[in-house]
Amino acid sequence: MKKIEKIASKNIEIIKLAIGNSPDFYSRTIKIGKKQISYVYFESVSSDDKISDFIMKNISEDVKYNKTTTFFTDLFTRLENTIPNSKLSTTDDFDSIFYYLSSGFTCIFVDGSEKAIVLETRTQLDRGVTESSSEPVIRGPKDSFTENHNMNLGLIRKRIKDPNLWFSEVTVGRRSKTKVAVAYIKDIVDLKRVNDILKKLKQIDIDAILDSGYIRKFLEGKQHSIFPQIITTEKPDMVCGELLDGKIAIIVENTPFVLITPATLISFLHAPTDYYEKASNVTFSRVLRTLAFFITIITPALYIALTTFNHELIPDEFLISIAMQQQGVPFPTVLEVLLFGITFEVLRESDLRAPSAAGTAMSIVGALVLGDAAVSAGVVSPIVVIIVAVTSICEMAFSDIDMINALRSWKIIFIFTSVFMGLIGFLVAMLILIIKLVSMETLDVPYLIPFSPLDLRAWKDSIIKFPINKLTKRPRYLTDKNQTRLKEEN
Amino acid sequence: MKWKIMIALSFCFLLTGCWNYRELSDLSISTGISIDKDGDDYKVGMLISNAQKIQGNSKEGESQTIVIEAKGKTIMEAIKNIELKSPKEVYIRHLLVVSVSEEVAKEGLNKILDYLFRDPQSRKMFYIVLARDCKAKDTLKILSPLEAFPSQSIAINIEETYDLQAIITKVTYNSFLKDLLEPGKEPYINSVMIDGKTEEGEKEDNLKQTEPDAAIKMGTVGIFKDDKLLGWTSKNENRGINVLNGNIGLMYLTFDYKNSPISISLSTIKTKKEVKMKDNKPYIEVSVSGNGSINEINQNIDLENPKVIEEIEKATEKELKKDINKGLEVAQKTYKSDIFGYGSMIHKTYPKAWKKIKENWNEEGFSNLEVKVKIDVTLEHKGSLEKTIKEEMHE
Repeated sequence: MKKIEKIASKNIEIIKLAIGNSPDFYSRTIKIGKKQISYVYFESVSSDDKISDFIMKNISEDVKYNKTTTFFTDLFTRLENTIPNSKLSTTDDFDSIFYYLSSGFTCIFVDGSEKAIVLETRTQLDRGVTESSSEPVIRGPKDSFTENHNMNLGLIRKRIKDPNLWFSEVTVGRRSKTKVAVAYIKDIVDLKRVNDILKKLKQIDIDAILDSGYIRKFLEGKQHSIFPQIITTEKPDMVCGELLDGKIAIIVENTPFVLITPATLISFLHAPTDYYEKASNVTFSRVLRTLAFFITIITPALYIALTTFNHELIPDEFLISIAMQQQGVPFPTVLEVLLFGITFEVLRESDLRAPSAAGTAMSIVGALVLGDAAVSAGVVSPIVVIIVAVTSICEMAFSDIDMINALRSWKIIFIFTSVFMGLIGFLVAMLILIIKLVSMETLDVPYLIPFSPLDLRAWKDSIIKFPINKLTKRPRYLTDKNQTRLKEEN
Repeated sequence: MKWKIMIALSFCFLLTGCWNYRELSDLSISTGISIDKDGDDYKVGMLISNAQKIQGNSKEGESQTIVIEAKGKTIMEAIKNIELKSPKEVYIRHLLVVSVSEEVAKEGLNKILDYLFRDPQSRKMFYIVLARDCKAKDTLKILSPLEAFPSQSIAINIEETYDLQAIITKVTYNSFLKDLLEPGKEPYINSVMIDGKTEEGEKEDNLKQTEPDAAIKMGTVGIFKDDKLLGWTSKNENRGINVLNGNIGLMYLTFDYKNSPISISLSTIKTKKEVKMKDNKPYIEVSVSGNGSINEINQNIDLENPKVIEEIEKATEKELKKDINKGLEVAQKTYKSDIFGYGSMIHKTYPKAWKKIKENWNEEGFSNLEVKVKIDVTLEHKGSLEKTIKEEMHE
């Protein structure tokens, strides 16, 4: 631990040297009586007004009458006790000064003291709470997390006013020193899992954490899978819902995306607003999402398998209709599907990255090229356009981007096995998919629960959803403490 | 290392070389086959359904059908000769209809059935029809304005007529073979006829007219003994055969009741067949029961009187009985062919008795077999009219 110099101005020299004379570094030395005090801060992260208010106003009297102290015995104690700042503290570790400065604190060094006063003078660098753009809602709370760590914790805290809502904080990143908070409800959650996560977080020795995406890989462990094992969300109400189920949320500083673990496949078929709507409607849309899940993976592969190997499974009229449409198309069916599929993916990717002004032009060109022109030019058959379009629409039924990417990868695996072996290949891929899903586990929770292993009680909130007054217990596979969610009237 | 071995092994799949890979655009999809006789040779015609119309004036997915014909000593040879004329591989897995000419059927179907059964490609669910009074090839050529291709028009016509009227029978290749191979049972096959001029019907102009020049018409069944066609039945006989076999959907009866025609429809007809023994001689007991409704009545009768309804029921039973007797007679006396499978029923219930009468079953046993028929018809509905229109007018 490096100590703080007793001569205030010397500290400034040391800091300047360490940060390479950075242009946003500001320091000032004031003489009061015989003593000098210096204060330093980063202009880029601090608010000049606050500093003027807190420091200059406070010591202006002293400076005016050039007296060191009246009531307090020395200047340091006087400043420490009279500056009207709620987050004021002292430190004697020189290295921590840099952390404070970067966080928007101002440091005051006083001649003759081995300590420094740090006070919060942060400027507003975050946007306010806005609506989520990645998870739009029709009904339900519309606020979403922001880049501000405290605000994020606050959005959770204000929803669950229970002392058992605990946040355990770890600082990760050698250079970024990012705060990572692990949120859980102490008397619901399985504490072994919390300790496991904290242990894993402490073991991370990386130089910087810029987003929660950095951390997820470390939490997933050794299992290789394209399917996401951690839920990512921007919505505080969803996080609270999952916390109350017994899950654990990981909130990373400077990102609005909060991680929730352990995730199961079924949780990706749920939408945050599922709990605010009528149960029957939710069941319907969950069935649709389940269908979309399978349609995305299966359709192109099944089309290829049926039209190039197993024609006999297609009804007569449909077969002849397909055969007619394929006439004059120069490419084999597989190439058609892949070409068109890739064109669509590129369009999606560019639409995602392009500035919004270019979006309209792109969708017009995309719709024209992909839809009409390709067919009239005889490059693809209309049925393939339909297949790719249906698949892509179904893909978009999921809000989690990792889920969409997983489906896309499996779609391609299915296509390749079907190309080589027809329906047999299709079944081989299906088997691999099922084996893969069944053998997956996150924090000892099976990925396919409640279907495999069977947990009939959890079926009440799986693909089907029971009304909220029927969901009296928490899911058993997550926790066995405090099972009662709803106290039934006697 | 484990991964390396797995990857190396998975390449084995690629060595299979896309077994059975066929692009749809490389196939000539045949949905109908016709078989005619030309001297000693067979003339086989194939209806290709995915020939493309000339570009420019057709919608996507609209097709034209063509018939390609070739000769050969066997069916296989003829089909290979067809392939010489067709630029694409002939594909018969989606076969819907096989139309056989009367001449071939009289000579025996065994020779042509063999190929279709032996070929692993072919589905065994297609319909067999006999082309009556016309060439089999022509039945595949008549374009119907209501269906995309002639084969489909025949297939759908068979299904619909079977469901709605009891005058034809659904005979697929499978069921024909089953009847043929079962001891004590003889097969029968439906026929189709051309109503109008063939030359006009095969032109596409036939589709443009409001009243098509030619159309495919369902005919009655032809009765077989073994694989040889013996002869035809009439509509009434056909109806009787279907009732006796319990092979029936909806059924219409029109007959004279009190000197004025009346139409009855019977919907749920159930036929129970039983073999019984009397004096060591087997006889058959058939009981037919059906529910029906009155569809058309053009005279002055009191329909609200239950006795009148009862009378009509009796008349219906009598009419049905007439048809059944005709059906029995044509099978037992005219053609002497056990199309009802009574021999097979005796074989199953009284195997010992069957052994004695097995020889010459069709000629002796079946034609002298006693068949007792019991009929029970109830008329439940009278339609939207409570009384007859004439009565309503008088009031």
